Amino acid sequence: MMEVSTLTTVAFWVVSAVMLALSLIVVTQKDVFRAAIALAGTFLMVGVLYFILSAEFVGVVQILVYVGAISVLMAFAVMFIQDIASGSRPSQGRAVALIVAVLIFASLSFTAQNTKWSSMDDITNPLASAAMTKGYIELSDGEVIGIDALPMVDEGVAVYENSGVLVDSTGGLGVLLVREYILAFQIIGLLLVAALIGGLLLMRNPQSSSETKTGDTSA
Amino acid sequence: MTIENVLMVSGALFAIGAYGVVSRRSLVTVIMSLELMFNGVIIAAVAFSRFTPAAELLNGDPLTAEAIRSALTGHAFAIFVTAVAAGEAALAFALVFAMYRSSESVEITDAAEMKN
Amino acid sequence: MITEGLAWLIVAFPIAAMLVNGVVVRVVLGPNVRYSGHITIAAISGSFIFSLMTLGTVMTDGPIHLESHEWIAAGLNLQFGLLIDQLTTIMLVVVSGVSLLVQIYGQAYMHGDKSYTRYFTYMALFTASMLGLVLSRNLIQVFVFWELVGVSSYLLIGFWMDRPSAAAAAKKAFLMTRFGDFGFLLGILYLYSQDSTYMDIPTLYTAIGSGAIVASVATWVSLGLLAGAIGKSAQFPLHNWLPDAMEGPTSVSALIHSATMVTAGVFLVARFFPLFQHSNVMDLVALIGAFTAVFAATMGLVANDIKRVLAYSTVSQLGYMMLALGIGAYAPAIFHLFTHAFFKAALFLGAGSVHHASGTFNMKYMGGLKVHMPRTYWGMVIASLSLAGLFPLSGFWSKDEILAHAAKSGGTTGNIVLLLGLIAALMTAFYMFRAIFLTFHGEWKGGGEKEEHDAEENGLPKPVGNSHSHFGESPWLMVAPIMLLAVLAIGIGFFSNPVVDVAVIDKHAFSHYITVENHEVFPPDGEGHGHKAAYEAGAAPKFNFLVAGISTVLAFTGIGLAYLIYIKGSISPEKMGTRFQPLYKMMFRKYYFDELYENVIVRRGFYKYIAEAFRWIDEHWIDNANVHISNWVSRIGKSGALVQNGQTQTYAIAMVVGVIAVIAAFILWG
Repeated sequence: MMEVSTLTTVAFWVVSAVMLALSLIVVTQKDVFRAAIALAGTFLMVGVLYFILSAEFVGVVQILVYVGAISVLMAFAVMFIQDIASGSRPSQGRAVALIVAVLIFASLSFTAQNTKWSSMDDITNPLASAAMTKGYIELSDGEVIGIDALPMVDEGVAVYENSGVLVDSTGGLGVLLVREYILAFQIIGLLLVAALIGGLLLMRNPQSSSETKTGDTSA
Repeated sequence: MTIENVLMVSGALFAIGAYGVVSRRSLVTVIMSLELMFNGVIIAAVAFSRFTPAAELLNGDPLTAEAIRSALTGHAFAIFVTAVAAGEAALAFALVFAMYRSSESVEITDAAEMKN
Repeated sequence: MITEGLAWLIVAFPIAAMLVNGVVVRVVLGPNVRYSGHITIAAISGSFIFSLMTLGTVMTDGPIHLESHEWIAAGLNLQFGLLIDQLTTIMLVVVSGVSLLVQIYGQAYMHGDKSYTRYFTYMALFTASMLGLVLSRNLIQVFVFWELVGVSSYLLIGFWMDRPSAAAAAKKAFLMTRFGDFGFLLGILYLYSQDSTYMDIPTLYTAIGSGAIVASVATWVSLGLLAGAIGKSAQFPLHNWLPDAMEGPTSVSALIHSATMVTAGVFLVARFFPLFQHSNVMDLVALIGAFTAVFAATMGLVANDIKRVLAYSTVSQLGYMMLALGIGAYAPAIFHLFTHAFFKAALFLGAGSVHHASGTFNMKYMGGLKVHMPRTYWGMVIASLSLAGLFPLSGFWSKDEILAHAAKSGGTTGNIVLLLGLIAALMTAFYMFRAIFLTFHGEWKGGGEKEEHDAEENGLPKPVGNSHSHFGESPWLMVAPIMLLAVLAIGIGFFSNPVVDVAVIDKHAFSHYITVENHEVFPPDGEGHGHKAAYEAGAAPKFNFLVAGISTVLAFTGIGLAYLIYIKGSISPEKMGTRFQPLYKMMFRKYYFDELYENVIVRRGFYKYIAEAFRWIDEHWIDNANVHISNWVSRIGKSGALVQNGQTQTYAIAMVVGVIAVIAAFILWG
């Protein structure tokens, strides 16, 4: 089990609480504008949460994209539409929704609790840990094996005690993006271009456009 | 802060978002709730990458590709999903505007052409 | 002498005559052609000759054993063939002989009738059916011919189709016999279910002899057969079609209701005699027969229509035959059938002759015909004496053997039937001579014209079948058969079954022939010398002087009583009628049986209650069920469509719930 400092834990719980409270405001408020503001707040808290979870780059991206762009988009939408009543559905619809939501939460929690998460204790194989940290293996007879040809052999060995956490993730993430996931990276770019064009198409004037509502609902 | 706790928080956010999707009448708020759900998922992904054993081993610079991959896949996932969510939000609002333009209402209950 | 092919010809000749008459003559030459009569008579003569030849063959060589032919052999196992034993030969001779005489008579009686051809066509059909019936080897085959006989009788009774009473009578006859045939069919099916080879009669005899059929099975099958016999032979309670059947031409009655069709029931019981003996219904048969004998005789006492009197007399005599079979007196029963055929046919033909002369059938309008038609008179007197059972005429011997056997067998049943038989004998003599005296003696009371005249005056319905009276003997074609039959009525009894050896004829030749020689039905005892079963069935009855004496005395009493009432006039029938008014009324109205069957059972019970109930069920439950089911299906479908309300969020919830369900499944059941 990893040791985490109590400060981190406290920060985690406080941020989570605020985040959840704000999200509740989003789904219950009658006034759309308030909901939009609360939404922005939620995104902000989520970003902070990422920082706590040692995902600095993701946190930055979150704040940039969500808080900076999507929340603004929401605000634009709200003001543009000029909603009158955006209350909730009649009570029986809400009851069902509540039950469903609770069920979702329950099932996810249940799954989370009952899964055996792999931890340091599981990795008794020195070769695996060596693979994680060094890149090569020194066998007992002096032979050196490259990481790629690593067999999984159970042998008892001393375990590294390390209570450290990731110090710098951004560099690693960069490496990952341009080495392993380069293809997905490029496709994302393509996807965004397609979304851009699609959005422009959807916003055209109906009289001048001859196409039906064929939006690229990416999800 | 164990992985279970983080996952529970992410699940709660997801559930709240689900509740919002189903119980709100205005299309705009429905899309807002959708964004909440996205965020819940991303938190979970990040949590997975945070709590892998490989992350525990890293002390300072990540050394091997293996380590990097197992520790930071979740982050990459998060980046991609965020990008996709952004694109999706934009297009969703385009749809909202289109609906508003054609029927003057953005209530989701009015989009019932598939009835029966 | 007789081969199978020739035996088949006995049946084939009349069928050919029917086809020629019906298809060729009627179509080509017209409905009133003398040739049709000639064709039928030729065919039946051929049958008669071959029947005599068959009789000769069987008398000398014993029963002819023939093969059974396959008819259907696919799951259902049906065969057909000929069974020629002693009983068959007797029946063949009786049927073809009487039929021949009746056809000769019919040429004169039906002279001028507009459907002359049709008459002879149907007559040929009937004769063929009856001959086929007695020749049948397989029980299913018997049933087929049985039904054919029923159909022919329907056609013949309802011959004068334009008379509603005739049509109704024919329908009644057919339906009532059909009712009995229902029981018959049940019996057949039950026997078939036991073992399909039992349908073959010789096989059945063997099976009974070897004990393969238990008493309970035999009882049920016998009950079924008895039902058919009761229907066909007009025993109680299916008796009231026979008087109504007099609507047909008199010659038809002479053939059908004296010698042939009604004896089919007795024939059936005789054919299956071993089965009946093996069952528990013998007493029932005897009691039904005895009861019917008395019951019908009472109705004959008060009937005014001469044909009805004869009809009741037939029913009564058939009761005698059933009685005899019921107490095990096989030989006397068949002997009585044999003698009865002749004198009853003579009586019916005589009645037709009387109608020819007087124009009516109602005896109240006849009288004094003795001087005008002496030959008819003497023929009928002789036949009546034979029927009454006067020594030494044939009826005496046959009836007496039955009564003697009843006396001998004793027991409760034996004594009861003896008593009833004697009572019936008294009544028989009385009503027969009442009829004779009313018809031939006394003063002429007007005849057909007067009857119509009186009916018009009193507002009664016009009597049917009346015509002009022309005094004088009937034509020779009509009188000759009567005389011939009367001669037979005198002698055939004694000479075929004498009590002592007479020249070339052995003692009890007939009874012996019918029982002792018939090894299938009456198997000889072990060594082959003794014939216990045959003797118990009356092969050599001892002459019972006491019973003979009593029955003769009763006969004379009956005749004397009739003489007193109707000739001397000492006792007035009208006064007796008024004194015993309720009893008289009951007998005159045939004990209200017609009303019972027609009104209560058919109209009210069946039409109103049963049929109405079924109609109600059909309308309210079955028809409505269709409507209801379609409504339900439609409603279910519509409620199913409610799930799709077009709301996106509903669909979203549905999806989520599905996902949760899958997760839950994974959690719970891995």
